[in-house]
Amino acid sequence: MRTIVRAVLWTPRELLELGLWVPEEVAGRLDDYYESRGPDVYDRGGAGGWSGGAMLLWEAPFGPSVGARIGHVFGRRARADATAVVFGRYGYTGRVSASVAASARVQIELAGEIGHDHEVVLAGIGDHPLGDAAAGADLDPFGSGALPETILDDRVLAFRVAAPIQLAELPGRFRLRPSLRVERHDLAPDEPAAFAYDRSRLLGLGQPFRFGLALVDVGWDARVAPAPWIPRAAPATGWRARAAVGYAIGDVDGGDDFRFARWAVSAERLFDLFRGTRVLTLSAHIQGITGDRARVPFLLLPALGGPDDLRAFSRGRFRDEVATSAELAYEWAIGLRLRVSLFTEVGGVHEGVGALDAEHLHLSAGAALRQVYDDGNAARFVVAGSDTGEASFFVVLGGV
Amino acid sequence: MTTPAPQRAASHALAAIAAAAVCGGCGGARGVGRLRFENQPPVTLVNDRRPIAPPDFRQQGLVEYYFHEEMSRPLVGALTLSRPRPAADVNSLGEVPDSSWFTNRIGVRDLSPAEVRHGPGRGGGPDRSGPWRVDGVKVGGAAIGFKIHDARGDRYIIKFDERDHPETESSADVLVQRLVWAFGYNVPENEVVEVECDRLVLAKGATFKNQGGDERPMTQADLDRYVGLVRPPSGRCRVMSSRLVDGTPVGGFPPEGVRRDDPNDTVAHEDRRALRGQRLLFAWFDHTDVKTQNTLSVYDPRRRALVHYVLDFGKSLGMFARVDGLIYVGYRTSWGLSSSLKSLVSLGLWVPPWERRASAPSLRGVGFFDAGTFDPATWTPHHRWLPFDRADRFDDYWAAAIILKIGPAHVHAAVEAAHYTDPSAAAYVERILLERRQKLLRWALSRVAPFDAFAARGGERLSLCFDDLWVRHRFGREGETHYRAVTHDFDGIRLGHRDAWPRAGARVCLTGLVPGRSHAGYTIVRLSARRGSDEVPDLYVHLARNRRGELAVIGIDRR
Repeated sequence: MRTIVRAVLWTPRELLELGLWVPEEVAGRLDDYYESRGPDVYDRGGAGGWSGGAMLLWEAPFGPSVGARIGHVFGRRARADATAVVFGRYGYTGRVSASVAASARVQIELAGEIGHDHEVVLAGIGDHPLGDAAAGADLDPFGSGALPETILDDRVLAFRVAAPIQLAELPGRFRLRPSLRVERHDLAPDEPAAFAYDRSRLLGLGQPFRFGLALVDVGWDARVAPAPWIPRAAPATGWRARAAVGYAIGDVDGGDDFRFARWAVSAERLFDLFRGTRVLTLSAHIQGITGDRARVPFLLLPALGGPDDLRAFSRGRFRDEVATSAELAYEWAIGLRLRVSLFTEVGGVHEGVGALDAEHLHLSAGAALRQVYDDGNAARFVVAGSDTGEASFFVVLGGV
Repeated sequence: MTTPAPQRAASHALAAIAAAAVCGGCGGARGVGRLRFENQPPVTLVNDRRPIAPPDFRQQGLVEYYFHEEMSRPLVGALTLSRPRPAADVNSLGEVPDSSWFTNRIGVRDLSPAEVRHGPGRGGGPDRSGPWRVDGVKVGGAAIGFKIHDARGDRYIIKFDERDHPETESSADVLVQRLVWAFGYNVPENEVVEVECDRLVLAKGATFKNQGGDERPMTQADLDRYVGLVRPPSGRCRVMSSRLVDGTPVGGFPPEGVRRDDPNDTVAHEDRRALRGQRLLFAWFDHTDVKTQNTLSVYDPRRRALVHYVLDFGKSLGMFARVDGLIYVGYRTSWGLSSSLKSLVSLGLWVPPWERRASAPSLRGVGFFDAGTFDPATWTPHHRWLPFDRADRFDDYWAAAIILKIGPAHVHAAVEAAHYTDPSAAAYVERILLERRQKLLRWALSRVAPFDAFAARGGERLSLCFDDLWVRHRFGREGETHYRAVTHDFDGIRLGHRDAWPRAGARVCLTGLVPGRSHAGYTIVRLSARRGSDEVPDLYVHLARNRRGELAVIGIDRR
């Protein structure tokens, strides 16, 4: 019997060994490099040099994208990076950035970005039906039915300058980040014939617009990883809070000028349930603008949906003058750097602060897996579903 | 040690180790089995140093090595039918004879604590009467270090502790090196040495390999930069010095198969008890950094043969967790699929053993090293090592029998050699070592018949005496074990039995046993024992009369 089993296994085993030859050769070539390295291994000594990163992003409904970054660190104070991302069938974006440490606490960051076919998914604004009445459509963004999500072709040119300032340790890191953004967008539906919304109600669609936004962002991060072996990007206890306020001025080609104030407040509390590897997170977030949403390009309205909040929904699924969201998440370690979480989110958009209510809140729940390092996530996979039957997922491997 | 006292008889046939334990007459009786031993003293020395041509240096890089050991081998292994194989480098008593791999030290003679404290070779580390001339930067591995030579011309690798973790890897390396040497392995001469950092000066012709692997002259700036990474405010550098072993390095030994360019290497490494037994020894001090790159075969030009070393114990005693943050090391391999799966499906309610430890260490130089969560049955190195995968309870017993002889005084001496500056740290490490020793010995001795030091004599009726290590070392109480000896002749025919239930003591004698009549009085004694309700696995002692007519133990067959 053993002889028969051996004979049956012989062919797949030989094929497997043949298949393994290539990766083993690749591993050998990698060794030629790594084994020759001296004590600079793991970047001790901080001598600077070239660095790079790569990313694979797969986000519903856009499909796969790949990105790459190459950077150079000049001594201990300056670095420059160039990043390029290619979106499957949707085009590309490129960014160059540089940062200089003006002092031990102050840094100057400069970034320029040019993109073609930057993607946005639009579903609606507030609870106003946006269907093209002439076409007989009556689209309710808050309805339970599937909305025609549209990918927009956005040609964007942007320049940003920021000066993050590390303030005193309170405890916790206290940071002030003034920034200035100047951007130009030219939005058009990727498939105009299939565009189902009333264009006249979407300021900024088909009309290039530009704006400048000055923003002051104050952040306090007192979250801590309670043990040295827990990655710093996976803190287990403490508070984090952020407040931002800014003002934007812009104009739309062939239209009026617009100006509005922008603000945001968020808070997060982590509870270490056990050994720093079982963590309960509670967080809440509110952001808004002042001004008439009808006079602000819809792209600049506070939005929910996408990889950061209300993850069951597509990026930018909900937009209005005010957006609120809250999250309850339980995350636990399944490896030294592997974390799994279950989360549930609730959020909605509102006509204004005075119109906050629970009527238009949406529920999203899901699970996430991430590989975390001290500096952030090396991989992330999220799958989520909503109370209205919508579902979304995204995968990020690597980082740029 | 077993009786008769082993004679150091050089054997010219490597295969003699195995041949000493092969089937002789092959009696087919059920129960005692077919194994018969040659009527000769057990082999105590293997001549595996016959002159050979110097082999080329050969060693896989780490990436290729890990890929092969962690991916290729398990995948291919899953499609391979293989039976567990017993160790093949053992003599008729199940012991490992002296060879280029292993030298019986404390196993056969009294090794004093002073010898353990001193360690192998001349000791003392590099000469401190003059400067240490830096010939280059240590290449490979994560620790910062240099290649140096001292005023005597002796060459060393020196390694520094990470600045945030003083006295960790240097102490661990030397402490464990002393115990590994006492056990019987070849190790380099390692010492903890403290010197002024300025004693390091650039040697003429020093070279520096940069990150791309190119070699160029090493400059004073290079030296200053690297010393700057480790120089403490006191200006005194603590280093672990390791004298380069004599001979020409030809690479580490692989975990599987033999080295084809070494005709003396005739036993597959995964079948060597000398390597399989390391599992228990290394579990003792949590030496998890086991890999080909931490071994070294050296061509001895004088004897024109290879000698095999084990190296680099700095990650022992829980240093992987303390210095590198790899908190799970010792409890699972780097992949950890099983524990990840348990954590996943239990939603984090399952608590892995490394999280059950009371707290992180706070003592200077002490790693995550405890006895409470130590389980010798599940202990594992960081990466798979085939000899450990193949290790069985008989390999563990062999190691345990030697570890039993490394007593508290030896452990204390090894801890002294580690030069902890905080007495509390030294006391802690010593206490944990002794507690872990008890745990692993209890485990290893519980899985076989832990009977040793056999003595047989007699004529018409014979007596067989032995030590019950379980009782002698107080893992069980005296008077609770019932022993039975059943004798068989060469053909496996049962001759009779005797029972014993000694009220006190660990030395057991069974008398009045009926011996075999043929084949020089060849007698197989089946020893079985019961401790309370627990059965002890059987053990078969093979006896025969030697040329002088004395009854001698010619083989032991543990089941």
